Order: sequence, then structure tokens, then C-alpha cells
Amino acid sequence: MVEDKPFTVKSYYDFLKEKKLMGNSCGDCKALMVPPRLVCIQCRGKRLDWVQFSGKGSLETFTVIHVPPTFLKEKAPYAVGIVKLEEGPMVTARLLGVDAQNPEKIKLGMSMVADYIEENGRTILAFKPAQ
Amino acid sequence: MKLARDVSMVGAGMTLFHHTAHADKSSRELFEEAVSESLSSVDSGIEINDIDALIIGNLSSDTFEHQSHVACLAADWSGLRPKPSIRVENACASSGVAFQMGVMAVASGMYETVMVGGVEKMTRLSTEAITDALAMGVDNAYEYPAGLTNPGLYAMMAVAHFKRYGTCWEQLAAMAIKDHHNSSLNPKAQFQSEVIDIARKVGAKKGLTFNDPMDFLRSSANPMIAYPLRLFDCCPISDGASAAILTSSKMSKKLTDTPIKVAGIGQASDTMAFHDRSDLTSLKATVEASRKAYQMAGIKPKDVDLAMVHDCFTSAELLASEDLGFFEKGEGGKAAEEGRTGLDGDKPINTDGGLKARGHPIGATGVAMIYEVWKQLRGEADRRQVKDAEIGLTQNVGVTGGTVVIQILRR
Repeated sequence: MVEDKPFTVKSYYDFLKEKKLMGNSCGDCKALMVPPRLVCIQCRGKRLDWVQFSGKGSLETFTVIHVPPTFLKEKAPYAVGIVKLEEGPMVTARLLGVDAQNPEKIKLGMSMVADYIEENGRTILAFKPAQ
Repeated sequence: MKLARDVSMVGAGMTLFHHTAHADKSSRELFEEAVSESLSSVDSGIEINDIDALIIGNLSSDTFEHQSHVACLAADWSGLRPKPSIRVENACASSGVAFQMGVMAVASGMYETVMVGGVEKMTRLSTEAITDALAMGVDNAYEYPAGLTNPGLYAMMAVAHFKRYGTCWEQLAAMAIKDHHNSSLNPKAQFQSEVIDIARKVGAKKGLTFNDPMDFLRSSANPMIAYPLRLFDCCPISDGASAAILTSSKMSKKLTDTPIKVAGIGQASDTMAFHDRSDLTSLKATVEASRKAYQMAGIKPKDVDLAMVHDCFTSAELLASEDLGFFEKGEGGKAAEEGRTGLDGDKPINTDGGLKARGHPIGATGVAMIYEVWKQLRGEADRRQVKDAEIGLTQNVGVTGGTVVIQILRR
């Protein structure tokens, strides 16, 4: 039961394992947020419910990391970006299917879809170009 | 907002900021050196016993030196025992916040005179371990797993700004060239050389010839760190300490003929994760904190004679120069390219070389900015002196602007 899960980092990652991008919506001001919060990002209310996001969005900004944290040493250079979901909120995610060697070819505004990758023992959020 | 009583600065000190010079020193020796200079800078003299408390900024002596309780350590080894000592941690804004806490402590009447400062001894660890330690400042749950780093976050600000306003990387590079020029005139700076001098040195080693600084900055000798930011868009790893003495304005007149008044202070917070910001080309906390500081000081951005802004990356200086109200949104890159932020420009920024070239020992940075403003407002900045400087501003930022603290000082 979705309703039984607390709004925690753990719940968010448990959902990613099921390939679900979950956040919450505010019962008072209707704001949407992902990952889920305990207090509404907009009105500070606490009447929050789980909501599933479609995983569709557009690329808002990005970078290509050449000097990574040690746990990603083998993967650099890799692209990371912020995707604006069609429902409104923005999320940070690894970018797949883009040419990290030719960053000038990565276009802001391009349509993206969520993907889920296994890394360091957990499922993390990624996005790739739609189609 | 108004302080309960006026507060002034009567002394300041800092060590050289450097990546190798302090190899044989730890936080305790570095901080004592800054305290010592700050005490001896008080014109009419001051005794260490006249200091009522210490508030010190430090990011992570725990990780860097396997030493917590650094406030006690700093007080003890500087001769401040048994006065109370307090450590402040707000990431890269730690000592800017410590300064602000010091102002409030004096204004409250609880203490007459307070030592504020910061220290960071980073280089005991490998560069890799330091990078990992600094990455602790990003959102551990929702940014770090994606592989984001501090340069990565500021790179994303640059990409968004380029797209919206047509700013280009060459305009960021102009800031780095300007910062190195300023630090070449600063005996406390980590890099006391112009970019072209570094280019010649690197070129000689690699058998390459660079005709001008831009030629060098565009080359593979200036490697990509996080697209579009290259090595010379990033601040270095540094060791160092800084200190300043705050007292009531009433007391300050007994200690010096040229006290520097704390005219305005302001602090604000923002979302921990950068993706939760509604605008990726602006730090809202800078806008909010500076609004409060301008209001308290009763001035407008145009009245500021010089500013030290938190340029951990060149894109940070770009955003700051706009968010502080110095230039219209989208005009910061152009202003830098036209030399308006240089020593003889109409809005000098980072006259000491900034984080980029003066260095960035995290916890010591906020008060090092204050140190430069102090020197400038007292006419003691030597070859980098801005003429007739009367009002100076500092902007100290924690990570991507989750914390921003602003101080406005006045001669």
C-alpha cells in the first residue's frame, strides 16, 4: 500500500527500485514535489499525499563531469542534468544516451524520459532523450 | 532591522593562503597567526584579555585533520582561554556567518569585544579525499548519487545562464584573468601571478607557446573540470586562517581613529538541492540577504565602492554581480568583459583576487573577504588600492546558495 509508506529518502529509493518516480502533492495548495517532502515546499502545510510522476520532461540544464567523486571514478566523463518534469517540479539525474564527449550537441529543452540504473547497490534516477 | 547598538571593526589578520606553504602547520598554528596579526593591527593596542569570546568558522577539521572541537583548540592555542569559544559550520559560508554571529553578540551587549575568524587546513589529505569531503556539502540523498560535484552544480548555472542570456565562457575567463591580476598585487594570495605568467611557465614545461592569456585558457593545458568550467574557472584547494576583532562603536573610538563600521548585515537560506530552485540563473538567497543588508545600511547597490563576492567558480561571480544589484540580470558577463569589475572599473569586484586566485581555505574565506574590505576602506591595500573607497560589501556563500551571508562595511 502506497499510503502506508513514510515520506523518507528510503521510501523514494524503494520506489525507484520498482521503476516508479514518486513524490507528493499538497492537500492544501496542490503543490507537487519530488522527491517527497515532510513539509510542503510552497505553503508549509503537512497534508501531503503520495503521487506518481510520469517520468516525462525536458532538459533544463546539464554539465559533464570530468573530475568525479571517487565512487564514480570509472564512469567519468559522464553527464548530469536537471530535468523539468511535465508536472512541474525539477529533478537532478544522470543523463544517458547523450554524447558526453560533445557537450555542445546536448540541447536544452530536449524531451527526456526517466530511466533507472543500478549503481553501488541501489537504483538511481536517470533520464535519456525521448525516442 | 536595526542592531541594538552599533558595532565596529578595530582589527583584522590573516595568514597567507596557500596549497604548499603551510604543509608543516595545523589549524592551531594557522589560526594563532591570524589572531596575532589582528591584535597587532589595532592602532592603539589591545590586550588578548580584552577579547570576551571567540566565534570561529570551520567546515571540516573533523575530516581534514581528524580533529573536532576546533573552537576550543583555536581559543586555547591563541591564548583566549578561558573565554567562551564557538564553532560555526555553514559550509563555505562558515566564517561569514561567524562574523555575523559576532556582530550580534556585541550588539546584544552580552560581550563588549569579540574575536571572529575562520580556519581550514585541507592539504593533509589527498586531492581525491578533499574532493570527496567537499562533496559532502551537496544534497547527500538527491544530488550526490547522480554524480554531482560543486563544480558540476556551478557548471549547470553557467549552462542555464548562457542559454537564457547569451553569456559566453570567454566572459567567465575574463573574470579569472582579472582575479589573477589582482592577486598578483596581494602578498597574502595563493597565486601571486598573472594568467599570462602561468601560461608561459606551463608552456615552457609542455613545449607550447601561448600568445595571450585567452590562448592558454582555451587550450588543453587548462583541462575541463565540469563542462563548461575548466581548471581556471575553479578556486584551488588552500590552507589558511583569518581573524577580525569586533567591538561596540563606542569602544572602537578608544582603540583606533579609523574604525570600520558594520553598516549592514543580512543572511538567508534556500533549498538544499539546487533543482528545487525556481530560477537556475540566480541565487535567491543572495537577493534576499543583500536586500536586508542594504536596508539596514540605508544604501543602494550603486553606493557600494567595492565588493568581495564568493567566486568559488567564475560562474558564481557572474551570478553574484547580478544578484547583488550591481548589473542588470544577464549583463554580468558583459560587464566583466568590459573591465567594469577591475581595480579601475566602476564596480571593482574581488580586489584581492577572490576565491579563484587569493585561495579558498573553506572556513577562513568569509573573514578573509572582510580582511580585504578592511584594508581597502582604511587605505592600506597598497598597489591594489581602490581610490576613495568608503563602502565595501562581502558576499559569502554556502555550496549553491543554501546559505548566503552579506556584510556591508563603512569607513
